[in-house]
Amino acid sequence: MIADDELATLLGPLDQFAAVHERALRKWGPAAIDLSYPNPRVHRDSRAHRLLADIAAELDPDRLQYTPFGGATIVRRRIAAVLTRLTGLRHGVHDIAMTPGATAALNIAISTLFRPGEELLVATPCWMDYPIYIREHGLRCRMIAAGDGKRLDPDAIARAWGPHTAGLIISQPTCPTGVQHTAAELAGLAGALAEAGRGRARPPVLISDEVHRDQSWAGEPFVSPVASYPDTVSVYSFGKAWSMQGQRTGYLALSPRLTGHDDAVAAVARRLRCSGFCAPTALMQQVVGRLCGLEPDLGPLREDQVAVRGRLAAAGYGVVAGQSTVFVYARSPEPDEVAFTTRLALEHGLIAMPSAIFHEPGHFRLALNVTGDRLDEAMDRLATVGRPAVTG
Amino acid sequence: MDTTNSAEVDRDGIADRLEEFVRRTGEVTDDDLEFGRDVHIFEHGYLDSLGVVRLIEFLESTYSIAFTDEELFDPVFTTIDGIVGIMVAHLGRAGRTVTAG
Repeated sequence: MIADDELATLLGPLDQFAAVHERALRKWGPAAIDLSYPNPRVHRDSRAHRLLADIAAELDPDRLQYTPFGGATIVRRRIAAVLTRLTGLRHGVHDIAMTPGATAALNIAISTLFRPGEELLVATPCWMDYPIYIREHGLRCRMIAAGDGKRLDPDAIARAWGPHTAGLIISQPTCPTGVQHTAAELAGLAGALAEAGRGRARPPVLISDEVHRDQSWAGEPFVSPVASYPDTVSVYSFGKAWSMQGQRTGYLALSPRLTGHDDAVAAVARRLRCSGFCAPTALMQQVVGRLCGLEPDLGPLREDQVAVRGRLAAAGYGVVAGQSTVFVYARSPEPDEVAFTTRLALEHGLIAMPSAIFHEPGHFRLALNVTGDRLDEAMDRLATVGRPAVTG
Repeated sequence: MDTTNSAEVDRDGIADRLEEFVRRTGEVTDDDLEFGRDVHIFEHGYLDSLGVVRLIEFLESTYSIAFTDEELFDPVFTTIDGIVGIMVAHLGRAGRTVTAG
């Protein structure tokens, strides 16, 4: 278990931001524009919400009973069918373990597939809590900076591989940058992992965090690393694409080609029991069973992304080219991005996240939680906040 | 006329009713190309544990039969084709005529 002082250090940037967030909301009230945590105030596709309401309205009480650890069989089968179509690899019902959100799936994946003392690499910038989970399970964590354009750098990953390194966590598409890796990039990563595993008793395991998979607004097809690297475990959440993050409904999926696949299936079930995560609520399992196969309407998000990126570029911000997610990631106009985002929040009422939270200096992240006039107003405030640097 | 309790039962009718039951209970969509009468309906997640109970209840009440333990634990009691075979044998032993189609 992670020590309190180390946890405090890792959570420091987020705790500091949370204090700024609270002060800004109190100071600015309804005039605050909160683009920090991805809690959208605009519902770009409301079908999931309507589906939830319909199912709740006609609910059979018999369907609120316990489901197996890992979720109801029929829902897992439907998820497996989606992954089969997505990856070209036949997934079965036993490859899927439903969890209360992707955070639980990540924890189960780490605790199942790695052992205390092993090392996990994390490609940064990254989602804020990967290092915490890794350390909580007694593993070592090493962060590897992304390459040009915040894209995967397989050479850097290969160079970082040490005698105790057992795996890697990436997000695809990437949080916080919105970068979506191509099939060629993922093939390069697969090659680096295969090379790193040469001569080892156990091949490296890749955890692919795919919670933003269904937000590829730029129109480029999503490719899962599962298709190119056999020893992959993917995690997913239905919350992002369907704007119901608080419902905490996700899953982990073992690649059908995972080394020791059958043992891993059994181990996941045991870890679910040990963790107490069990499964999402019975109601949400019914909802996502019917969401499987539906694709959210990304047209409105695409319009907002194009508009925001254009406005930021015109104002001189160096924006990281992204293809997916509701995020926009840009270079801070000041070297100290925490100072910049604090000033932005308290003096201008626009709340953005400093990249220190994502284990990288010098940038900030916007979550496009609003649209229309409110988004225009946010861009106005960013344009007037200072003289940004031009470099990307 | 519902012929499920009559002396003469149609084998294809059993298979059709069983498939319709599994499709409805297991929420099998029309575009599920992996589903078929030879697929393991439990291993592949077409019916869960509650679905098994409902399946047995459905068949026993529809055809006025009671499966034996040997039949329920027969390795072929896992596919629609296999279950139909067990049904046909059971009905035959009970003196009912099962026609081919």
